[in-house]
Amino acid sequence: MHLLGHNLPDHKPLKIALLTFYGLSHPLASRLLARLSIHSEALVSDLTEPQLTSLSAYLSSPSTTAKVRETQSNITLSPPGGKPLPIPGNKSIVTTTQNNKGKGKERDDPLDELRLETEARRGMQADIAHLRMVGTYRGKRHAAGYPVRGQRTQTNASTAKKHNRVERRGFATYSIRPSFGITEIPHPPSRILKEIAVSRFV
Amino acid sequence: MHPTSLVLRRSTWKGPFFTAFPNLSQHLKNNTPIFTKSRSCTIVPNFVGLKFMIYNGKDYLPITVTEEMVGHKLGEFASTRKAWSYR
Repeated sequence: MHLLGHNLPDHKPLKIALLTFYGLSHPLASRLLARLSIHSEALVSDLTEPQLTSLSAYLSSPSTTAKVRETQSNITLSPPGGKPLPIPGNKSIVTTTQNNKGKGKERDDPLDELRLETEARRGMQADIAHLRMVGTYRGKRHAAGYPVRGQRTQTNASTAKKHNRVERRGFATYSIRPSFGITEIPHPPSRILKEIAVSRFV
Repeated sequence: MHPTSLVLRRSTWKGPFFTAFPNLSQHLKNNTPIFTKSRSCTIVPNFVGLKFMIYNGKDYLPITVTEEMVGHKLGEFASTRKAWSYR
């Protein structure tokens, strides 16, 4: 099944398949399923039409859909044609949340401010660029393509050499299509050869 | 500055770790650098504009604190490694 440019295979659990989105981790994916009231072990093929639309609505713009949900959360119970009933236990919940707000203890839901895909990648690159601009040791290590957190470099460090740079590419933690994201090689061999040819013969 | 970087590392009630330098305002006024070995001192907003000479184990390296550096440590800006090159 295709969702917002990603291929989610039908036989996978949705919790796993959602990890193709850059910025969605394991805990966030299960949180998202809980919020949309989808079963945590549901397969991609099990999804119903309204569940799919709510999922794609959230994934296309996480922050706005979160706000809409908040306004809808006022529940009133009423029998048909009667006046609203007091919800058992609801009053105490309301008061506790108000108290928490006053103390500033209420934790924000990470799903409300989730950044996905290009937005998340851009945020990560901005963090690295900030380190480089300010002139920190970590920024220098990124620019040099070396490990950032004090690992050894005499041997190993091959992962750092592969990934660390100021304009770092971001990958999802789990990728169904491994070729995704390698659409453009920064220094294709043909270009390097061309440059050599130009410098030698022109 | 990343708002989480400070929060994640250290209990909030402790506040950031920093060294109290004497005569900060005088150094700002006279534009004289502060010689220091406390590399683990967090850069606090009222350090902005100050000049520091930070020890890297051998020399004191000059650094002028800008607004963007707030929240980092002083030692992050004075490299302890020697740049390697062919002779």
